Amino acid sequence: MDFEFFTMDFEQKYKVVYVTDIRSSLDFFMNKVGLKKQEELNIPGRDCAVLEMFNGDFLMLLQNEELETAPVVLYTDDCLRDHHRLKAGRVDGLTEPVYRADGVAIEFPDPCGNRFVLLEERDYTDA
Amino acid sequence: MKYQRTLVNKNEVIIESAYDSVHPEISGRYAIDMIFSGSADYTASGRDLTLFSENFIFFNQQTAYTKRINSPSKVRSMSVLFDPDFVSDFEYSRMAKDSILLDDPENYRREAPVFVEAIYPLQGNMKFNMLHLKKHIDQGSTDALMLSSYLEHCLINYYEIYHSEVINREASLKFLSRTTKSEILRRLSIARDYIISNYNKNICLEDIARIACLSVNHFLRTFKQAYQQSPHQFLTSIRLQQAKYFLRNTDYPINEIVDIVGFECPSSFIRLFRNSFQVTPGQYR
Repeated sequence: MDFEFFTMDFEQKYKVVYVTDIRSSLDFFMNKVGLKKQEELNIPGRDCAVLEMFNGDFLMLLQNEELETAPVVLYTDDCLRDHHRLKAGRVDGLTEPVYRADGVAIEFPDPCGNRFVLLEERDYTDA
Repeated sequence: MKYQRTLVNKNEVIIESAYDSVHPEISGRYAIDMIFSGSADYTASGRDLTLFSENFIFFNQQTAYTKRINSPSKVRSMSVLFDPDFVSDFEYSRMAKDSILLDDPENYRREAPVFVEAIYPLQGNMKFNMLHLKKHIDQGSTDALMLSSYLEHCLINYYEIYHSEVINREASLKFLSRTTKSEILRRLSIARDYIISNYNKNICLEDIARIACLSVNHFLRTFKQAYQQSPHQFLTSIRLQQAKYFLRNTDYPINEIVDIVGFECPSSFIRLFRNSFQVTPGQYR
């Protein structure tokens, strides 16, 4: 980890995701999903890239021999907007938005085979 | 005053912030009109209605309605006007089997759905989606495909509300004839809208029953069957919901809120509020 990593704003959340091919995953999240690359980090023996998500949180892709075993939950502030972006990017395997007890969510796979759930949490208590 | 019209294919979204405005005889499209703050008066099908903050009203395409704003405080509202073909296509794709949709994709042009027109609380997914839509339009988005997907979800949310507030309630009425059930629910819906529109006034049961064209006893019995509460309990729940809105969005003293929402005294308001929400108005604020 280098110095720049520690200067990031830790008020924002990080999600670390194992990927088997960081180049294709990075290409997918930048060009299909529309995330912006924040930086690439020097972690000994592993490639790592940090992307800024739609809601300002960060997604950290970490090269690994094994994938995530469970669906990775990412959070957004506007699920329908992101669904539109992913649909416009012709992401294969993208599901339609589903209303759940905790908000609205969509699912999509990355090129490595990880399954992602993008959830817009909604507090229905007073809404 | 702000008045912004955004075309989304043949649909339209109108965002308005005004103290004083009149829009007479609007018709030809299905409408979902919502108020974010303040209130607006409507006249439709011989009915005078008032739409208060965090509520929406639905109008069918053939209904001509007039919207009036006349308020000392700024009224923020949004109208979503749906092209009849958009709604018919939505309805057809929702109801028809996949095989029929493939064989006869243009069939939706034959009939337009007609809904029971009523006022509903602007809450849940409808509220979240409409606030997102407003935010995109406020930010100047002209992406018709994206805005259209919000309109489609507005209909998805509306159909869900309609199913629970009309179809299910109609089914809970204890009459054999489906026509009778529909007619009773339509009249109860008129009564319900009257209560919502006049929630802050002294309204009496006889007036509500008369508006609904039902005898007092018949009205009381059927209202309870449909809504699982008495008209008085329903009126109290509307007053408490509006009180919550004022507690969240204004710094009015509690005594003033009690007066605005139509309760007679602060002590009964605080007791009812605590019984309903398990917190006092002060704690809630």
